[in-house]
Amino acid sequence: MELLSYLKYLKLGVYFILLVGISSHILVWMDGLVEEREGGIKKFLRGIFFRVPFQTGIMKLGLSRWTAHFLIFLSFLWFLFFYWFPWVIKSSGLNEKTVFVLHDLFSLALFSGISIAFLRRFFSRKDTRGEFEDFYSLSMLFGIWLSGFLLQISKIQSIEKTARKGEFFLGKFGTWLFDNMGVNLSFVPLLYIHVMLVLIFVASIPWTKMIHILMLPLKEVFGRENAGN
Amino acid sequence: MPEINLSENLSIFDLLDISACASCRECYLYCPVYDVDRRKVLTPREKLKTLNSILKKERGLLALLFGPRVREKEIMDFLSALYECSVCAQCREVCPAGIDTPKLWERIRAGMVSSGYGPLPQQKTISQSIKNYDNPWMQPRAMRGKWADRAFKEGRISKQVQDITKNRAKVLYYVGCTASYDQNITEVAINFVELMNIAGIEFGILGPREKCCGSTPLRIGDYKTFEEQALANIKLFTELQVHTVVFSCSGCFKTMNQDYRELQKLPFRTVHLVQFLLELIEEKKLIPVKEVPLKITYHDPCHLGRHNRLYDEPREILKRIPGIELIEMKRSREFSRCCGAGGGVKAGFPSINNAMSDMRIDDAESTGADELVTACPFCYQSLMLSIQRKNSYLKIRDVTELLIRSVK
Repeated sequence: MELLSYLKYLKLGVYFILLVGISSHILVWMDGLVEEREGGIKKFLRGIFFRVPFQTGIMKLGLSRWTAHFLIFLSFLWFLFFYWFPWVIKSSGLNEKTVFVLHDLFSLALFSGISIAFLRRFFSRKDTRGEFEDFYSLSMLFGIWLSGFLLQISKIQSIEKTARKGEFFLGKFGTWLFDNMGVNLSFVPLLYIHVMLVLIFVASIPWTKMIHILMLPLKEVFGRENAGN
Repeated sequence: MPEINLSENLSIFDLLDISACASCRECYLYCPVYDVDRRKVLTPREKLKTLNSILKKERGLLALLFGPRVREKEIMDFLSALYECSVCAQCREVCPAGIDTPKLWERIRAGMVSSGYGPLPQQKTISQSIKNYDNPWMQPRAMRGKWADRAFKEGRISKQVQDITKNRAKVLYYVGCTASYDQNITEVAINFVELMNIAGIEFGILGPREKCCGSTPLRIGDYKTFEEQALANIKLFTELQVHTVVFSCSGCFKTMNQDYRELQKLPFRTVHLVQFLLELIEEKKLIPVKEVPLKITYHDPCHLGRHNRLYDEPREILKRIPGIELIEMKRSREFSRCCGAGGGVKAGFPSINNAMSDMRIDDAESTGADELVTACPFCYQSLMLSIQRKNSYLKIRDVTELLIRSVK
């Protein structure tokens, strides 16, 4: 568990890399001219309560694209709060059982979203399939999902069969599958892999196309009312 | 290398727009320039990505600590790609982030012009011609209103068109440079004038006093020439105390209806002729009765459609004409493919303009329609040339040409 004892410092390192990346954007914005913002409070409220949560911008690109994006977005939010800001979920009043069911559901949503995104690229026009940056982001998300899923299974496997409780459909199914295959997953290496993938992914956000995770909501809420909207 | 500040005219919102590109590549599927010139540097996504990278290298944290490190080639490649765009707003339409690319490109082009990098050499004559002759076609001012005299003499219009400085009518018909000077397109102006006569509308034109709206200079980044033209036009229209200015050109309409309003509040109404004619039809001042048995397809001009959201008005006029069968092209309304004439592409990249309009003619032919109808003299001109070049069976028409056949 050496790595985990350094997690606090690793997290600080990730925050620093995030800050450097984001500050580059902010420094560029600081050079911009001040322009009167049209749309006022209406645009602000529409952004916060409608355009960002329902991802309406991407809706016009078709159902498969919206579904993939919306599922990834929802699960991203869930996992962000679950692991980085757990107090939000704790203070929401949800009981433990509901939280575990939701955890499994969002895990399934993430997997479905990533699968649709991959499939869509496979069937789309060659030049729009994406480049390294695009596949890096999707592969990282898939890696995080897969390592998290295996981690969950290894956690359940480490508990005596009779004492197992708290796991739900996805974990239960995975554990059943691996138990039947006679494969016993090792918890610690999987934990290292999972944590490292998450940290690398988060740190790379401002340096890749994933910056849109931060910028798009910001633009929707505080940006200009554009004719394209 | 002279100093270029790419973000000179950009606001905080523009810069936020640049950062918000999700690299989804949806613009690849719709960009009409990329359709004919398959270089990725021309796609809006690639331009935004390069611009973002240049700006960060110039002003980001690392630039702040270690100094700017942008290569000249990077800037030059970006600038050459920037001008190969007709600012048709198709990318803005499909962009999930709603990034206002036309506004961005125009503002950056303005920065390039002020630092001596733009416009392209082929485009420079446009601004010069506007300064010398008040039109981009290098035609003398005195010839601007000649189409009206000629049409009256030939009996094609029932009443002599009045000079608004004399009759002081409340409605001004702003003919625009293309419909005034291009012999093949004066038809649009003649038909509209006759429709006004039939409807009994008192109106006037400016004739030799009409000045270019400044659309092309604005699109190519020559903001100074645009501003001079805009202020002179606003002053003239205000002095004449006109209530309504009607446009046959979608580009002029976009410029006055949107870009002039960014300069100052306008004390007159600006309408495109499709809006005006539809009003006249609804007021029963124009009644299309004669059958015009034609299978047609309609091309949405970018400045009328995507920029002004006038998709239904021209279609409504066409629907009111008995006998007309309107077949929509696969790409119509907000997805209408640009003819390639706008944004300075016609002057700067004629082969791209030709390839784009050829593609639009292919779209029109694939509907099986006999005639291609539009509502912009600039698109009309570009598509007409393509029909001739391709030896297409299609005939190009303006909305007014079909309407007059039905009401006369």
